[in-house]
Amino acid sequence: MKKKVRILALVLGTLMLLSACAPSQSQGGGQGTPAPVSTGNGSAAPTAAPSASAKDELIVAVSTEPSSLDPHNVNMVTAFMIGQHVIDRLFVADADYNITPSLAEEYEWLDDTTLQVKIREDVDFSNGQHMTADDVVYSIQRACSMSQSAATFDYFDGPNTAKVDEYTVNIKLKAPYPNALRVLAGGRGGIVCKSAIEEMGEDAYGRAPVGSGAFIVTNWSSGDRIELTRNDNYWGAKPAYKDLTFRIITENASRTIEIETGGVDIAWDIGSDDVARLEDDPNVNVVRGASSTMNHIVINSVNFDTLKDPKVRQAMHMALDMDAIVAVAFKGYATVAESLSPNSTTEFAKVGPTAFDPEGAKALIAESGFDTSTPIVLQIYKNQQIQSMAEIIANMWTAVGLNVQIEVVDRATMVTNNSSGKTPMCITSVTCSDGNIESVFRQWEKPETGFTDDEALIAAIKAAKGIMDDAERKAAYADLQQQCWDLNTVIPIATGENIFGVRSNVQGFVFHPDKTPNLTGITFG
Amino acid sequence: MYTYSEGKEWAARFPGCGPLNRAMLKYIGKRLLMLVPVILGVTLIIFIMLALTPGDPARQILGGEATEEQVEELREELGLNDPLPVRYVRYIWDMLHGDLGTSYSSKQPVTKELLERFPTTLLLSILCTVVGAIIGIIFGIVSAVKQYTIFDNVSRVLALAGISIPSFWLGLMLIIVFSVNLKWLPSSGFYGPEYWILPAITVGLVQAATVMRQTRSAMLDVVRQDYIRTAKAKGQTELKVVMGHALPNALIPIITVLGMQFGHGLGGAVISEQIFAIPGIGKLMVDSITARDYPVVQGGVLMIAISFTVVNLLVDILYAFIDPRIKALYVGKKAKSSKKEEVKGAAAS
Repeated sequence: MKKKVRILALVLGTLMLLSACAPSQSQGGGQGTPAPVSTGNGSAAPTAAPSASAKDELIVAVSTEPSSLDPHNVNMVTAFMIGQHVIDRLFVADADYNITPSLAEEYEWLDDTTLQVKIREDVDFSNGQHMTADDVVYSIQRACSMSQSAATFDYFDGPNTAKVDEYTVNIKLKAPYPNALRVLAGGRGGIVCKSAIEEMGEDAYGRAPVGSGAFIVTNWSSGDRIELTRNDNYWGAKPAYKDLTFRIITENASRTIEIETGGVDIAWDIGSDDVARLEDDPNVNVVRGASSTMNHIVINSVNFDTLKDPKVRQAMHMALDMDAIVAVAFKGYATVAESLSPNSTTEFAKVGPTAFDPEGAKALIAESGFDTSTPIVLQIYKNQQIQSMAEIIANMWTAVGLNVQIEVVDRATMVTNNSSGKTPMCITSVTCSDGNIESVFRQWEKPETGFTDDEALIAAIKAAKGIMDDAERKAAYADLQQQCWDLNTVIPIATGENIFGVRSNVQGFVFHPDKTPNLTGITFG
Repeated sequence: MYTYSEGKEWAARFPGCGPLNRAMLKYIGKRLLMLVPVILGVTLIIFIMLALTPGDPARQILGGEATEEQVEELREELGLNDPLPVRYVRYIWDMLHGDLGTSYSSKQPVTKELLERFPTTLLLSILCTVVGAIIGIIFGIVSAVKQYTIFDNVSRVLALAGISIPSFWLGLMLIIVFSVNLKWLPSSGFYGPEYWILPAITVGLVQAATVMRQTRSAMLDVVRQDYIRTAKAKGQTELKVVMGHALPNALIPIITVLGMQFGHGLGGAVISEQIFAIPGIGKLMVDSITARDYPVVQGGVLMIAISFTVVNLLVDILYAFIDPRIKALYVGKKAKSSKKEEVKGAAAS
């Protein structure tokens, strides 16, 4: 009997120890005791946990976990979205990409390549350090040199960016660049604390960044949640709630259920299958709008002889019924592409869509003399929506006589192959962060990717980036969009929608095409 | 198992241990030593497999927009340009110093990443095994005792369903019923007992189906034995016969199945972790494989291999405690070998 009691005690002790080691809702965060969330209809869900005073915690479900929150050392939208609450930038952009100063108090273009910025004098970092021009210079130089941000800061001249006085900086560019403010207002434009990085090291800084934002990171439970708490010394308008928690829920269905049950207040990336159900739920508002991501087919005409014939590529474009693809693969929650870039980019020019004409496609293929028995490989990565798109596209191409084979690989393989031009054809996407069309054309600049080897076109793409006059730049990009559309080496399909689930008691949520809405202004009704 | 002189030495070193315990300790020592080739083999295989897997971690980290120069720089920084044997030897050397490397993604030490997740996976695995054992053993016993009755037939159908039903579907159904409709339990997370229930039931029910079939089969073999008939003839109650005589003799295959299931669980219940947003080893491994985070994959596989070996060892040890025949085997071998020692000693003198 005594032995049995001992064994039972041992088992219970082990379970208690393990449960202590397993994730808790407020490890180290000090957010107080978890309590049920109001579901808005009077009932309480036994899920996560605002503190007692009405709602003092905003819980957000995101679909991916960022690898770091260091703005210069990460390449993930989720990281930029979360990071903006912790690390402020010199400028901020609203959902329409209008730029306004943030940490910058005043700014002036001294010449085409020198931007003088006077920063606020009342800003402290969350570790108590006062923000000075040294931090701004350090941040710009760091962004120019770090491998994950250098491409975005390509036009910035880090070494020649210099402090003028304690609160004034001259930011130098290598060449005239109209999108400089956008880059500074974008995800990689965060002003980091120089002394904190030097003290903590870059890797540690990425997990617990010190910034001048409205929140401070208090706990990061890997694979589970990132907890932020209000920075009471914040220089700007302080959030109305105390804690901001990002829960990492990778499964679409699980995020939807969490928003339905009130386990979270906002859910990112609602699956298109769930939209109708959530729209019927009186406790949930579905907020959706066009994203800044364009889904397209890339046809490598440079490295693959079978795809060199422009008539064949045009026929492939004509054979696709984009409305049907949007209706089936996106369940209607997308806009058929009218250009290479999403409609939200500021330089967008309508050059499409190409009319669906299967008979015309057949005639073009016959005219080109293309051997239709030649297998054409369409590479995709494992993703329900992309697989659905691929099946429809393959069927439409088969209907005009082409021999299409779908090859499914994982995403890492796809990115590697696509960047080195080893893929004959693939379905992929491009995101125009900050409303900047440059992302669309960045791949075109590199002949090794197989988009084009036309040197004149590549030169024109590079030149367009530096045109300072807005109208002239827009015209140049409109011409480029038309030229590239006609080449058919990229067949734009559609811009999907960003779909958010928001509990009905959450007010002040503003949609953002980049999926980076700032949550500082949220209140609870 | 061990010689007489060794036995004396053991007895001196571990005065409280009986002959069985000493034999077991030696056996455990041997099994633990076998971990060395297992670890070397596992690390070598995973190294080669990852080297053959397409997809460049540096490109994955930097994204499609980075230039080839930037990718090359990062490859150099991560040591990916070194020959495979050099990387392997470096990994083993670091591992011997307790360093499993740093995650490419999170830039955190792999050991820290794994240790953060392991308690969650271990707890989930224990809970699932407990649910599976309780349900499976009870239903298996009753099914065997009441063979071909309605209970038996229904149990067998349920077991078949349990094995056939995909756990992601079962998990979602349980969430819809208990979280969405009844609002009794939370649908995701792993923060306390109320969060454990649905994942434990989801995986536990699937495990229970296998345990139930195994228990039923083992019990059917045992209840037909003569000693069971004798026990019944002596007038013992059905409960006492089943629990006191039949079940202990049927436990070995049941323990084996439970051990296997527990071992697999330690590798991470990937589907359940995904559905219930549980930050366990399985989810970490899937994410790391997708991101080509080689150090985490290598560290994770190593941890799973070690866990599995240790669980198997524990199961083997349990056999000796459950089955007197196995206990006798250990003691018998000891007695035999000590007798040989005595004969040798006599001959020598």
